[in-house]
Amino acid sequence: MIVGKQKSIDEVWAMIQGYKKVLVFGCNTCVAVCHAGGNKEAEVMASMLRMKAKQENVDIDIQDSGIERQCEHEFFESVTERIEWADAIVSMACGIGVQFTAEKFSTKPLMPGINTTFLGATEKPGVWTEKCQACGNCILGMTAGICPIARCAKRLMNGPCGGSTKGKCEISKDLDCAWQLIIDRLTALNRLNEYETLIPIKDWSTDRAGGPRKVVREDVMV
Amino acid sequence: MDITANVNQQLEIQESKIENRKSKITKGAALIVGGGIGGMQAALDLGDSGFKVHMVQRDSSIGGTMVMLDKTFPTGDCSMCMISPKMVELGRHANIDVHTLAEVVSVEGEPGNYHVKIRQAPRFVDPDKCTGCGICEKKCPKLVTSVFEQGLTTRKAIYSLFAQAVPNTRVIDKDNCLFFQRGRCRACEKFCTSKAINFDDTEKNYELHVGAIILSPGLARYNPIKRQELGFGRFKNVITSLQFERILSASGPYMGTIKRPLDEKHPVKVAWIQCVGSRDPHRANPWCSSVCCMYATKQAVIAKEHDNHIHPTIFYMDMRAFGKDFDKYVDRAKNQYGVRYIRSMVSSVHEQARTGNLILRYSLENGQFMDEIFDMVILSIGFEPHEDVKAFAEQFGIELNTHGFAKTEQFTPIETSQPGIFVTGTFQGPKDIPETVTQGSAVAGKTMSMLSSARGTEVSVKPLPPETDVSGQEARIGVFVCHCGINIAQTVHIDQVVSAAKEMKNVVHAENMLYACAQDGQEKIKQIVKEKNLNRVIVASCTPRTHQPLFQETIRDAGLNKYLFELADIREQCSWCHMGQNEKATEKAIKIVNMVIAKARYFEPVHTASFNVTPSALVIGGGIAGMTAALSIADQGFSVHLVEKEKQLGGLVNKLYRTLDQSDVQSFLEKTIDAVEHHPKISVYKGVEVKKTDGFVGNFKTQLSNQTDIDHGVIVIAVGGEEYKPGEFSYGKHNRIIVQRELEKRLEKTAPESGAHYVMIQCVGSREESFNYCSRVCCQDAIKNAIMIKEKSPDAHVTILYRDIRTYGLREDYYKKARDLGVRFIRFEVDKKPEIDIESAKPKLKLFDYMLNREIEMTADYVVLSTGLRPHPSMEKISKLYKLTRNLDGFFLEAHVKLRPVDFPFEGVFLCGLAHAPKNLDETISQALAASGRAGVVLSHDKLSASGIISKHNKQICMSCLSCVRICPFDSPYIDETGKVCHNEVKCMGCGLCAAICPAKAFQVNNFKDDQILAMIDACAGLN
Amino acid sequence: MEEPKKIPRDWEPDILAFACHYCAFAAADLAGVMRLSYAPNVKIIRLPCTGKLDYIYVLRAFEQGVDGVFCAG
Repeated sequence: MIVGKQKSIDEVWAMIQGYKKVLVFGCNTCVAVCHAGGNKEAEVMASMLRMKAKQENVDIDIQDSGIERQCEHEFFESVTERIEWADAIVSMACGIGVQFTAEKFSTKPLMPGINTTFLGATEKPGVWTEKCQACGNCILGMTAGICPIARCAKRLMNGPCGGSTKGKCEISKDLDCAWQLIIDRLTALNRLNEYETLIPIKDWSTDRAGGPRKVVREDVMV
Repeated sequence: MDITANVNQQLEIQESKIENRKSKITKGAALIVGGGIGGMQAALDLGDSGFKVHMVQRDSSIGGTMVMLDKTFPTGDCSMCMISPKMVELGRHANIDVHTLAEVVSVEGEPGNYHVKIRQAPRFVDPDKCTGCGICEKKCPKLVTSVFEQGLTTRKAIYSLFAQAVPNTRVIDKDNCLFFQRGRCRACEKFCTSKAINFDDTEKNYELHVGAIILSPGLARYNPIKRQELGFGRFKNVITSLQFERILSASGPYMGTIKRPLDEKHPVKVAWIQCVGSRDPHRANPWCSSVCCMYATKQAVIAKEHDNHIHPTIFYMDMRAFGKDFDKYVDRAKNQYGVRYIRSMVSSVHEQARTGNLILRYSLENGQFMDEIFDMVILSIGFEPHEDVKAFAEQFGIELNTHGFAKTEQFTPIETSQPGIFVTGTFQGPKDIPETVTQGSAVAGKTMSMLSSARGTEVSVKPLPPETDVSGQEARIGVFVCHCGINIAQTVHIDQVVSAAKEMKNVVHAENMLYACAQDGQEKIKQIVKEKNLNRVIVASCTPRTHQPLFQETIRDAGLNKYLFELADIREQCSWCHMGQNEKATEKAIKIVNMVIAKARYFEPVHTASFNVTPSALVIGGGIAGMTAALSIADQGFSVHLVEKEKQLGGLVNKLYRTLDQSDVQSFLEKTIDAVEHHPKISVYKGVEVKKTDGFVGNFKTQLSNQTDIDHGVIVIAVGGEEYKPGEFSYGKHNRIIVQRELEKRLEKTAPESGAHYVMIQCVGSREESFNYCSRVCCQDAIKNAIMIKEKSPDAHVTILYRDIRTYGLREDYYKKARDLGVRFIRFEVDKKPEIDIESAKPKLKLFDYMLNREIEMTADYVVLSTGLRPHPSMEKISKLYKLTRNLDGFFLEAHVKLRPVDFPFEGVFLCGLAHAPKNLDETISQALAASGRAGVVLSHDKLSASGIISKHNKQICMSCLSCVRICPFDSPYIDETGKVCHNEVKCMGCGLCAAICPAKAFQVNNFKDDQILAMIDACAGLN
Repeated sequence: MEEPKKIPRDWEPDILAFACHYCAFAAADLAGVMRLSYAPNVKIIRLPCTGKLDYIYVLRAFEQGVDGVFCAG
């Protein structure tokens, strides 16, 4: 899932300066599940901004709304009126939703309410960790199901670097060395011999190196 | 009672026995004598499972000892906060009649059919008219020393025992009332607006007809005035532990501030003296009171929490922290709170001139005398039977033991010498709250078995009118503002509150009432509901905690769903705490009422689902705990599936031959197994394990390892424990080093060697990391075997090396007996354990003797290790299977350490035996019976209803983010077969954690929905 | 930094308390039973558990002009 983290009130407040009517707009899928930008968080953000306005003595009308997902056309139908009402929108969606909304309402100023942090998983309640970088060319089959691209600080493809100490990465003692994890898992799978196999130079053209990407599938087109 | 009367009574009883046997009546009612927590638990369990209960209580309120306590060990929970909801529940229970100020005069009949004569002293206040407003007490001019507050403060001549008393009706203390004593005053009568005072009230005599009798009279406390050397009664700053309990209490004489009585100064150095009146056969009582070590520790900890300047010191003989998690609590008191423990008995207390401080003289273990000055001294007084215990016992024809406690046997710990008369709580022997509660449920279980044929015959269900359908209707709110005599009216301008309410949107009726809760008030409410077609009702009066159910019933009688009612608390939370600020209090009362009106607009009827109950139990574990529970449940008339992992029933008891009092364990075990295997209602599965259980209370489905599928309504977990196999003290390396169990087996078969020296080492594998708990049974095991050795071969020698001898309660007798027989006791410390040398044919031991203050050596013919108990290895699997939490030591954690000792947080799952914590055989039996009593409460219902105040899940807007699944303490949200989050409302307790965390707002708690709470917030801020 | 506004001498905060039905609400009742006196500027909303307290309740209270929120349970 896409994981996000709310921006500070001050940062959002600074962005909406000069507008009279602001709609804080939640997205109730990925970022709702990580308690960052769902419709409930939009309500909380709007409330805090209104209090900020009161403190600063600024005359501004701040309301909240939200839809199921800000990356699908159809969901917007029910909220067109509310969006038209606003001078500016604070989108609580991930970067995708913010852009999608901006494209749909080309004359409406749009601000992000959250920072899209990464593609990750809920490690435990309140802790999310990055697991994937969407490189477009998955090698997890060779690395015992642990991604060295997303989880090794240096994106190394053939074993750990000299900074791997007692299973931890040199950049932080709390960060597992991805290659240590790979070796441990290969050992558990009784496939440690595969560790010796060289991973060939990766084709990075499917990553950002090849420019913005697109998937087209005629079989699901309508 | 003279002998002739006694004989006559006996004859009468016999005659009536003959008469009754002809009719074979079994009454579905029980009499409970004594309204402490043990009796209360029995009453609630019986009342909840279809029996009529009569509770006879000598005091003017129920509650017993527990209501006097401030906090409880080892969790530090507030005592009153725990017991008060139970008292309220009991006080208004449809199947329970409470007879206060009452005593039993005579008993006739036989098991199943008793006629009991009751004498009830006059209260002089009519409970039917009294609303509990308390104005009488306020106006009463006479001050009387308060017994409840242990003489530390005063009460009035008309009073209630304590603030939360149940029943709430005041009582006139005739001996101190000015009118009764001098013929004038009657202030209470003058000010009572509901005309409840009745000076002409008289003693009432009446008869109750019951099937079983439960005795729970509790115990009295030792009066330390007899111990002149300790200064109680002479020096004001020497107080009893119960007085200190009141001093700690926020509702006590100093409102929870720690002061000493002489000058109300804050004490710094505070000493506790243990065993005052206990363990002293020469001058006081020989038994151990079981609870003082722990309550002194608790008081020291709580005192320190109240006032960090306090330096607590506890003078003790043996630290008897034998219960679950007790040792850890004592360690915490030592290490975290700095409580100083000194192993010494204080020989004298003197008052220092002028300061009021106290000089304590004591000797250190090496004999050196010490004088130390303290600011205050607390005497840890013990329990003793009530003064009139003999007459009490005679009345019921039961035997007492030599100490004046109810006589019971090891294998029947709650049965008196009279069948049909049971005993619970401290009257059976000193014990703490959870054990008392356990026995409360146990006697309930026993009574259910005995009276099973008459279950449901003495209780009636009130017919209710059909519910009016109010769905879709606009709110039509009625507001009734109560004067509560002058309780509210003297501070709040009622008319202003009424007219403000009238102005509110949707309010179609508002009026004032003198007493809304009085019979006429309730009738008026019903009438207005019908007349004005109300669909929401608000009463502005007192707290919803006590009065909400009453008014809910009222509107239900008027045909409204009971969740369309709410109380606005303008008494406890307004008039009573803002006296003299009439304008502001009125303003606040208006706001409180407005907030409740705002909430009520969003009320919706709540309908609770009900579901069938499978009248059958699954008992896991075929040891004594499991078998006892199974037999008791089966005797209640429910079928039982008993699953035992091993090929043989009996568990650990298979290796046990004698109890401390020499009762024959093996023949008891044989009889029990025989009864279980031949009981028509019990199916026994040996060599079988539980594979998987689905479902919820009333509706479990379990698959066994032999592929059998079982439907059942409850689960009793009695998986037991195991004995620790020692690695220390060279066990297994020398044939003369054995464990107690091996010794016991040998002693059963052969006499001990003449002249041999048996050295026993205590606490092997207990009371130190990583098993830092007391195994509870080993001290008695050692003493039992030591006595056996000395009795069989008086010239054999026994030395017991111990850390603390923990023969708690009446078991202390055997400690004394062992000493009298010449068994030697030598203490060691955990960091200076005995050293063992196994080079020669007989093991040699070396240890430090603290009395002699030097190292000593001895040769042993046998070294006997007292090994502790461990949780059973299968508990890990069971805990995962049923998602049950375990404590740090691996034993199962009950729902509430004090008041729900055999329940799990999950409804319908119960716990007993060693799986809960180490305990003795009699305690295991009590606990197993308790589990059966609790199980009976569930199984006796054809249908169970879910609670009304639960969280409702809207699956349509839920996005299965799992926040609720992760946070719910009761596991009620779950992932269903479609892989989506779903909600099991039966398990839901309505706490609303799910509602607060849900990012989709898919959960809403009935009567606490977001729109309702937000409306209250808006109304509070003045917006509507 | 902005200077905190001066509080007028006769100003009294408006306080809203959220209390758990089982403990803090019971404690508030006990305060009344014991006739303990406190300022009337606090109103209590009963919750089934303080775990039910939602962020939005607190924010809404402040937004509507409540000066202090007290959560006890």
